[in-house]
Amino acid sequence: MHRGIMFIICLGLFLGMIVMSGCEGDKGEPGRVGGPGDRGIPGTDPDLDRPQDRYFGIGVVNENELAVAGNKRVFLTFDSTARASRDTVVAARVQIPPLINGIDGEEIEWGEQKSRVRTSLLNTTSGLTDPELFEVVCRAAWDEYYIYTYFQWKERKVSVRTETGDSTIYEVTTSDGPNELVMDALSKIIESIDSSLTPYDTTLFQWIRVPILNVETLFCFYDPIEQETVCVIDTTFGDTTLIWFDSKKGEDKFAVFWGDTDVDNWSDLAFREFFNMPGAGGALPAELFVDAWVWGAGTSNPVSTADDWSLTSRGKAPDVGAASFMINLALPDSVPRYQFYRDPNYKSQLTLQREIYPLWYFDAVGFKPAGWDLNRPVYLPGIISTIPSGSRADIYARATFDDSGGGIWTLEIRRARKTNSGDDVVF
Amino acid sequence: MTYNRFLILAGLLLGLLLLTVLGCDGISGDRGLSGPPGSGGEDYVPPIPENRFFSLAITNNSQRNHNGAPKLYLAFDGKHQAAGDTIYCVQLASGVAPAIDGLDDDGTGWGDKFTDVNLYRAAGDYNFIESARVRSAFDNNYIYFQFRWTEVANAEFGVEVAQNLDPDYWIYPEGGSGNPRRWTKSTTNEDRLNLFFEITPVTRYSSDGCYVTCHTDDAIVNGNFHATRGSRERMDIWHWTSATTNFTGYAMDRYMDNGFSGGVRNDVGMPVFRTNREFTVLAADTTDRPMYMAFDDPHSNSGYPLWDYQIRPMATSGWVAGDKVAGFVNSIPWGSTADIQAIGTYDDGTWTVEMKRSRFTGNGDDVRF
Repeated sequence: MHRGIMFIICLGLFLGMIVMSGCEGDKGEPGRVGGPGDRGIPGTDPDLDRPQDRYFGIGVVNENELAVAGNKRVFLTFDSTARASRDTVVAARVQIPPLINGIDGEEIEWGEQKSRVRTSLLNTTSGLTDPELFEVVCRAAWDEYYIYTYFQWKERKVSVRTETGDSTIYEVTTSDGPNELVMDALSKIIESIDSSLTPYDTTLFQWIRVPILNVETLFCFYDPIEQETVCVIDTTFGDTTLIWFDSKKGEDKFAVFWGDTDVDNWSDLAFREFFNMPGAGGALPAELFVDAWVWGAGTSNPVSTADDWSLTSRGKAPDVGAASFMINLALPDSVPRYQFYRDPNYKSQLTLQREIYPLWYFDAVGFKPAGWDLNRPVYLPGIISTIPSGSRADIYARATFDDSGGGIWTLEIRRARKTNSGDDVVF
Repeated sequence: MTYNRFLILAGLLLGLLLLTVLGCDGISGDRGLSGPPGSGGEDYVPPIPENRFFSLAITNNSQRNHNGAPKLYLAFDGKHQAAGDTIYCVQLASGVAPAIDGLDDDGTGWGDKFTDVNLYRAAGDYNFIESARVRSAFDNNYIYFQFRWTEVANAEFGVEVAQNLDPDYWIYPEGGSGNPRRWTKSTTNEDRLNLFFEITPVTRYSSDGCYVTCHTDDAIVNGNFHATRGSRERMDIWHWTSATTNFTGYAMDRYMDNGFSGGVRNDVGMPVFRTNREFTVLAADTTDRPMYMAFDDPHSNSGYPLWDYQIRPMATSGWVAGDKVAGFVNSIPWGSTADIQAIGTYDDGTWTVEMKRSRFTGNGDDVRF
């Protein structure tokens, strides 16, 4: 009996295994097509995200365009957890933009972090006087659409003139080119005019009306008593002409360079080209791109802008559009094109350089040589201020000069992170 | 016994049947195809601006005498009624924007919301303009305003219904008896509209409105000027005028703070107008006259607008007593002072002024919406 039951159980298990392993059945129908997915999440604009960190260079000059002090490599980070240092500027995320007015809004406008970036004379060409600009305070801020930068530096008075006895000798270019005798003879005239020089330099060059001196009007001889050459000027002949100071006299300037290139030495090349350092005008690598913001105390500051340039393998070039200034001369070594509409000599009664600037385009009329009172110094500005346009007008910049603080410039700049111009770097 | 065997066999067959039914499921079919992708997400849009207070002031041929609403509520969130002191700012559909042309067109492009705001004497004399119709709209990039008001004449207060297009012009000395270097000025002014917005929080603005900026005492000018009270408080001012700005299509963009010099300032840049005045005092001799004249001066009386590309140096001769020269020179503005487009039209005593500005200009002297 038990054996029979066991046999039946075993037989059942055996049959069950056959069923389990053998009854595959038919393959089912494919499943139905799924329903639509959920709606995508609202988009984001990657252009509004935190900008990428990058390096930049700064260059500053005090009157002499060649004697540039600066720092070729400063790191700008948008990581608010970083700490500002001498070579790292930490940009603050702001809700309310800083007021771009050249007045230091301090941490209320710019956030707590600021960097004291060391600067030094970068142009090693012999004969240049070190402007002794050793430090630039840098700040930066950003929001979804704009980037803001702040620079502050203190000038020092540096004489670029040479002294000979009790006479001050200036390099002067006449319409006939440099002439030492003429320069010597004119030195007293120019000295009396130039006595008002201040560290606030807004001029590219400056026109001064003086008598024309030619060979016939200069009589020079050696005075045995004084033991020197004496020149007697006879101004009864000849007319008058306008001369300007030599090009080494210029405006205070500040340049910011933004490299957007794989070229390692982009900053070196930018300084070389924009400050006419040795090798300027030479070959440039094909992939080079540097965006240059060039602020000038005379050329751009009255218009509240900075000149927008770029540097590529083809060399430096202004962005497309009109500049914020016009050079006030018809041709090199020629005469000014414009004068203040009330001259002569309405403006010349003013004795400070800063009072002849800016000469706005709407106040300028064609230059006329007649009618000047030559018993008074005559000033004509070297540039005419105008309204910039196009990509060249992308940058708002405003600076103030604080005499009371020993000559401190505070410069504030704003630019759109994305200008949609190929000649601008994107933040 | 046979029965037991039969029972066992039946049990086996039943078990076999159960195993067949339960065990032979067959192979599942293939997985169905994926459904179509969901609809795309929405484009990025800037967040809807926060509701805020602002102030409105309107003058009639005056700089000082204004009726206004010192505190209006500008609602963006769609949860408020356009009534009382609340302006419903309509969110515009994509691709739709009102034309900024100073023409009402029965509100075309502005949506159906408007508020008739009651105006009160705010400073100076009452000017009898008791209400203004205000519309507002916004989209992802811009904010728009429209204001309509009707002027009211009152002989007793010297208020007239007029367009006022000749503000503050110069007059050559009458009868030739005066000093030709000292011109006189007309007493005319212009119609004005001012808006005030907080850029940074201004103390008590949410309760007192723009009154908190009026006649703040700086101990220098006897308290008779406008400024904020806190050192970091800043307000945006949109200043439209019937002559000096309206010819240009821009409003004057200004701001007010309590900085080192305090008061009202133009935004950074080239302003839309500036004073046409030469004023010098040399020894006992004073010169006070226009700095520029029109191309066809002297004696053209060409009036406004006098654009900066139309001016030339002032002539000292050729004038006739009573000749007029514009008191302001217009320029195409540049910089932050050129942020606001604004144009108004005048129709039988009613001004319709429309304005447009970027919600965010990136300028610290502008409010952000």
